Amino acid sequence: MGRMKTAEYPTVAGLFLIVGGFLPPAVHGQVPVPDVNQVMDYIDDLYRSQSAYSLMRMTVVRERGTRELEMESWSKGDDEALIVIRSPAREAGAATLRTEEGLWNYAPRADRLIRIPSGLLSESWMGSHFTNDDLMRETSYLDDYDAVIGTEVRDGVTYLKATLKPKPDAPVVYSELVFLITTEDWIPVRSEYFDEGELVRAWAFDQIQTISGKKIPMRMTIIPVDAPEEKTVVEYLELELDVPVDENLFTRQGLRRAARG
Amino acid sequence: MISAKVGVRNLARNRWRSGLTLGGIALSVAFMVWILGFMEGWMGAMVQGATAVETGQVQVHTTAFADNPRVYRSFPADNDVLSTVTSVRGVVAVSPRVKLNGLIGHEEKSQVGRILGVDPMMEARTTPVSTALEEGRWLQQTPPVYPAPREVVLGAGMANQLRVGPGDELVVFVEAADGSMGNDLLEVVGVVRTANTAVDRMTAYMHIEDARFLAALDNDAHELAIKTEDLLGAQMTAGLIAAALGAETRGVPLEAGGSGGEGLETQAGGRQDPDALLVRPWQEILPSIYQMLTISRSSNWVTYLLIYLVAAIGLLNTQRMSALERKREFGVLMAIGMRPRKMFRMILTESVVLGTLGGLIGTTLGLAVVWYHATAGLNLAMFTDQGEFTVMGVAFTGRIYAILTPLAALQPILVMMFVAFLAGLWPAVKSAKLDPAPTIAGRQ
Repeated sequence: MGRMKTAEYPTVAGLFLIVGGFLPPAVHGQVPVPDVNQVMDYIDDLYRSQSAYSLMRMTVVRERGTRELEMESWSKGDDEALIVIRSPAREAGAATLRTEEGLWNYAPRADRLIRIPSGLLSESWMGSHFTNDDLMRETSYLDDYDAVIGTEVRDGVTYLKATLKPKPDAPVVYSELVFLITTEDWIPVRSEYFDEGELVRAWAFDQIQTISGKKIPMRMTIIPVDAPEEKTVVEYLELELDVPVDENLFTRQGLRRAARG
Repeated sequence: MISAKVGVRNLARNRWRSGLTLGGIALSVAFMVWILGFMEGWMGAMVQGATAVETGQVQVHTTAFADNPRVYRSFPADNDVLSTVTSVRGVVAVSPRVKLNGLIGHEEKSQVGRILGVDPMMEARTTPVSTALEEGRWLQQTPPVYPAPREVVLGAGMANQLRVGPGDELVVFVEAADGSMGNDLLEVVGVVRTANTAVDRMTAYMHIEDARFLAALDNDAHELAIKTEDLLGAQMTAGLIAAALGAETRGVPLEAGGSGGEGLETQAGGRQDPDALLVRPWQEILPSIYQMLTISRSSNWVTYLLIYLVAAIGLLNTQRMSALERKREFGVLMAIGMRPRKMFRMILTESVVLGTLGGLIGTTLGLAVVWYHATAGLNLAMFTDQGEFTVMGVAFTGRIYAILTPLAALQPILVMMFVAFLAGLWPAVKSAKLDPAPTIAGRQ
């Protein structure tokens, strides 16, 4: 799940190779605007680091009712991630595998994988308000977007505001992405997704904890604008960064093992 | 009566001219007979192709599902409901269906498909899908016992897209009624190719019990597909079914099925309730096809106008010329006491006799051609490279068979008689207004 989150952020790896806990400079008085790539890279690495393990609870609130899922996730590097649903029983064992080659769902009842075609990237993931693209992030913020950074005051607080606009021929769904980030610790507070100038969904981040020396929001809430009474909430019950993760986990066999375990 | 006799004799005077005019009229009428007969066949094939496999001629859904199909907008389709529908006059068969959207595929390829959960026997009675098998077989009446994979029959386009055939395994993922993700293992047992592109490209048939389990639907269905005795009576049958189920209908209140006032009441009351059942004939389910049918019917009048205008001008020309030629004769007739009204009637009779005679010949000719195309069919696919062409989601591969209707046999000749009457008016009026003296003298 950590993978899913970080997947939302621009991948600027390769431009700035900042290994390990890069700490933002302390800022006093007037807010100087830091380099946009540094900020986005920091955010990008927030939940992921070199590798990550997490246990999450996802609550999907729909018009017709609320579902609660518990999931385990592992990730390694930029491209490898595995999410396995542990409960409820009806869905336990369902999993999503992401590798460099693509995205697969694992059907536990069938004990088979099914490839998720790229045409379905904007579709819902497991009935939540996440999209497959949130997991897959085939589009690259660095390649497909132009980013600018500034500041914005909301509710009396000054935040860094990163605005990402797609480059002319980019194969992206959204027309603009906005990230609000605290000026002191570079903690994401809110991200907003626009389509043709209209806000279509927003993510809110809260419940900040310090994990591996980084201040990280442990709860995320996705609110679709067209259905404001609905939401998907993801809470990290456990989050471990830079822990050893078995390389074989991100293969079909590894997935089966993890899903049945 | 004398005017008819004289009229016919007059026509025989210039056989060539009368013959040519007659020929023109006959061809116009024959062409219209053929057009009507062929369009009837074409539209019938169109509606048949669109309704036979996919929808049936009448469908029942919940009001909410009809507005926006969601997996949880189902209704209990128990034996009571089914037998109530079956007992309605005009109903041939009924098939309860579970309709799901999901991802179907395997490790290499997958696509979004429409899963139709059907009772194999009832579906086979309602639609010809089980006879459209290209490979393999139709679903078994009893689903296999777990852990054997669930049986699935795929549309040919989908099987091709996923590169699977009978014996191959597939995985299916669907959003279930409780919001969870249902998944299962399928085995392809058959591949169908119908004339309906929606079925062929994106439909997968499963046993209704398997589909219910997959989507956590208990004993519910999303749809009843109903086969009616005839296509055009579907509206009336839908009204009867709605009355029998206590369900509502939309559109224009129908003559059939209870009093109008009662119908309106349930309509107004039912709109509020998303769980209320809604019965719709194919005309409402496939409005685009119905519109096309209506448009093609009215476009017949444009064809009439074009074809008959040419014939009418020819007729007018003949009549006027012959009247001019016989001007002196007419003058004499008037001089010896023929009343203008009689003169008028005589000329008009000539015209109507020409139209009727031509119409009879044309109808005979047209009916012969329609008869041929009704039995042997007309192969329209020969005009395309692919040997197949698709109109509004209906693929036409073979021949189109014209249909001989009373309308096609009678309307063209009746319209032609009327046109001949109109075309004869002017020459007749002109002749009736002749002033005998100057006409005989050749001064007018």
